[in-house]
Amino acid sequence: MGALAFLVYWIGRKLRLSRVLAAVILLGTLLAYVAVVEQRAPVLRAGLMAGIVVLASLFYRRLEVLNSAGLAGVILLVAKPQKLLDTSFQFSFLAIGCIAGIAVPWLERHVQPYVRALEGWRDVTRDGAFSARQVQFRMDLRDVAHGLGAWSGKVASGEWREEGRKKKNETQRRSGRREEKIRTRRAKRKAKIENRKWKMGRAEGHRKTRGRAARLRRRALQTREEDGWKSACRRGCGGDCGE
Amino acid sequence: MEECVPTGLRWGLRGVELAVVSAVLQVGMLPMMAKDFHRVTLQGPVVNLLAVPMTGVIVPLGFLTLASAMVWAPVGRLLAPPLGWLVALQGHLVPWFAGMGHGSYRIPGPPWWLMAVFFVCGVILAAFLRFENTKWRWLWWSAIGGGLTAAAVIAMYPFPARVVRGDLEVDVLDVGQGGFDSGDFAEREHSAD
Repeated sequence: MGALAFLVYWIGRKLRLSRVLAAVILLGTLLAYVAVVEQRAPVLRAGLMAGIVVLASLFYRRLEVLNSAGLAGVILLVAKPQKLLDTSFQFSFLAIGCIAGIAVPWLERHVQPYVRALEGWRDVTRDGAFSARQVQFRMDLRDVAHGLGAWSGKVASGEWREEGRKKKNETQRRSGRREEKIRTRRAKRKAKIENRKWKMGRAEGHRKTRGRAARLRRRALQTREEDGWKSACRRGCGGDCGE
Repeated sequence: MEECVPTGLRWGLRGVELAVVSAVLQVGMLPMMAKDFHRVTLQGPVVNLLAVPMTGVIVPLGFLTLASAMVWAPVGRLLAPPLGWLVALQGHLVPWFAGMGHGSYRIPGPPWWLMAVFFVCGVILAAFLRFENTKWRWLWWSAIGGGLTAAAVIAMYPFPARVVRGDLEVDVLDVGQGGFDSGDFAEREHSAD
């Protein structure tokens, strides 16, 4: 019923009909609709509510849904009081009570401020017309949207990829420098070790040389002894001291 | 791309609105559903989230199809198939959800005092939402707590059974949009609409 009322009124306004004429046509359509369909409580309730709202708008009055539902309920009950015990009537008015009494005021307080704050969200000059919470929401929204826009712009232009490449190159360059440092350090350490080894090797070589000389000397002495030759030592012992 | 954020938010907030209305209706209608239909339907709000936007398309499209068919029949014939698909889709969607196990269960009608507590809490809540008063905030929380507790008690029904096992229980209800007859014998239920 609401959709039909809205559609008829919208078409009337688009056809540049006057407000009064559009309302009269709408009321006629609603009456025709109610007359055509089965006259059950939900249909009568919706038709009456729509009619009341349209009539109120003719007098420049904006009726709340609960008031129009209440008025529709009173009219229906005056016409037929036993409707109060009708399940259809109870369900219809309970549903409208839940929506208009609890859901809509709660949404008006907690969700609608954000919906309204989305209107013209780019326009900073309009921020003054909103509450502190809404302004904060608009600022956060602009931040997120601009961030996303900048990022998407970079992606679209390929700048993002270029930046990524530059970053990668920089990382590689840095890691290359680091590797170079590590390589130098390793080389130095290796050289040091090699140097130490060389020194140790020389010492070892000396030791080996000395050992070889001693062995040669011993062997020579043994050979001399085997040959029965005794050399004269410096002391003049005739070779008995072994020197 | 920048417009995606507010557009997404706008749609998200519309979704929140629909979910809130659906949840409020589900809880608000619970006592009457339990009293008259002896049913608690947990999948109701989820089905509403899909079915209500579809209805929002079907109804205007239906009127448009009718009007265009009256003006020029070929246009009406062009608009009729998508309208038929949408109606068929909605027709399949609701029974599919209804067939889900444990999504809906049978419950005895609540006692009158419990319904009274629930509706008094609801009226207090509605009044507080309309005339906000920070001094009476405890009343708001009490109404929410009381209402939700009453709804939970109605949905669980922790009272002893009123029907004697083995007796035949017959419910007949005319809701204005089709009749509802339910025969219940022991634990086997037979319904006819």
